[in-house]
Amino acid sequence: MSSSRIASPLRTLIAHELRTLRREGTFSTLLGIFSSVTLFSVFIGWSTRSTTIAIYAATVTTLKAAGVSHIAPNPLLGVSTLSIFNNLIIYTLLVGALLAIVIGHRSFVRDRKSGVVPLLLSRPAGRPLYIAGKLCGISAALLFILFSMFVVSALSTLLIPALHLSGGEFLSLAAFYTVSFLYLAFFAALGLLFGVYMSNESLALLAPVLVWIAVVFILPELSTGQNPVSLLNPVTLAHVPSSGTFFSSARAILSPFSFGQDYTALALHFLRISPGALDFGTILKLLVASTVAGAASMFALQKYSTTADQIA
Amino acid sequence: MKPKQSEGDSPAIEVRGVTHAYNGHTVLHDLNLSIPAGEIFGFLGHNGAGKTTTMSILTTLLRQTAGEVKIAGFDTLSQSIEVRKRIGYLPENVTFYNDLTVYENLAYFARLSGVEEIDAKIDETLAFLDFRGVEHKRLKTFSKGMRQRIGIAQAILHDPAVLFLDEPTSGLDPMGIKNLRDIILRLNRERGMTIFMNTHLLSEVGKTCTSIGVLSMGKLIYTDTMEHTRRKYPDEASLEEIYVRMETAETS
Repeated sequence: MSSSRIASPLRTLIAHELRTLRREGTFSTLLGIFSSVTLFSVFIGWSTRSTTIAIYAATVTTLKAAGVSHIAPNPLLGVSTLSIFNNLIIYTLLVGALLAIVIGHRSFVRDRKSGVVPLLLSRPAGRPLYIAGKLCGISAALLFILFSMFVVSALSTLLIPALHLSGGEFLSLAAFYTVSFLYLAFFAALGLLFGVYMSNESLALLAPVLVWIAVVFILPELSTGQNPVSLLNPVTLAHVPSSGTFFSSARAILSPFSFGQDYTALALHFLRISPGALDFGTILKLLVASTVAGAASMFALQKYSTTADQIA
Repeated sequence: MKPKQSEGDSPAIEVRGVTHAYNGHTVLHDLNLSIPAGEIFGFLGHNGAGKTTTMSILTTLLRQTAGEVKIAGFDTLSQSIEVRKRIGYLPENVTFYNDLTVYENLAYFARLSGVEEIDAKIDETLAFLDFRGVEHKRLKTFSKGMRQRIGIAQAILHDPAVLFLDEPTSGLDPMGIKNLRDIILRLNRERGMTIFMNTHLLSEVGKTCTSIGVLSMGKLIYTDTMEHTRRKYPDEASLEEIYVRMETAETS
């Protein structure tokens, strides 16, 4: 036995969520997956960069031997070392969002399948606090995973001398993981929302995946005219979208919901791949979207009937 | 032990004009009920009569369409947190987190109920239920009867004034039923809890309850003390015959 003093219900709910994720093995699996993709990303980025530099050096030697005096400077000189992490944008956009949906979905469905929801909702803590506890627990798990990714990224750059990062670049890297958290928190809250709202477990998982497809692929495609593959490519994303009446109208209506594009734009900014000023409005939009999805989960639980579950 | 008193000495459970409908179908019709503190109330009715819906409303899990419910003097809609502090609830077919131990499950529910000395309270509750020594076992290895005891434990950890039991004997063997009956009687006598029990096991009602109510198709067709009920129906040999007579009269 471990404790005897009173603990706040919110702390209890958060601790329970984290303990369950740990016991299920979800936490260690996610930590393993995300740490591995970070290492892969660093390796791929470093190897690409080293190869490009080696090719440039070889070309310079050849050109000098041929008597060429005016040689263009190394194109990588103006590119931040942070760009080696660009693969992480795609991993987070695709795998990260789907895993966040699964965590959010499982959080409520696990309780429902265990049959403990009536026991929990008949406690003084109340329904909003129950959802708040789940959201905080999931957020804490995501933050820990992203912090671990940051540590892995930072250690990798420290261990490979060719990948030196300045203090400002370390801060940019931290900002990249912060916006990644906002993006993942939105999908985790969405998973929780549909888990509460829909009694059919499969549909409750399918619905947020459909929303993810919409906000990452369909809406940006309708508002830019770019095909799904090019939407995943940070280089083509930086290009000017298609013009014309349809696309400008669609962009005006749909771009506020193109969270995938928003995340990519912010990630490109913080990894210093895309030039330009930071759009704080986009950060705020991701924050608002996560908050609204969380609040909607609370609302869905207010409407949730334990009686229907028990009778069923 | 004296029964736990309600706010302003009001009845432990007071239901006034409660109606509930969902999907356009009325499942409870103008329910009125007053249960004084210290009673063991048996709520009888066939499957689908509306017993679980009534219990969900009384335990604040469901909002009634119309009417008022007070538990220990507190309104279930406007003072739901106060109500929840004073009730314990054991649903039908109670289940827990199977991968957690008995202690972890009970400690979790105790914390959410605001229990202070958790270790001492769990120890005391398991001792009361004659169930010590299982604290570190995982629930997935437990039988229905053992789960039911843990279910009772989670419901009484915070020493509630009113205990709601939904079909508590469902699926138990005869020994399990007897043990549960003894626990219910001791909770009422030694801890002063008012007990509201949904059941359709009439033999248990006769042995345990001090008053009964009969629900048929969402309507409360009868309520009185067991003593008066027996006096009212002196010719009937068993409670089962009384119940059948009431139901037959209602449906005809």
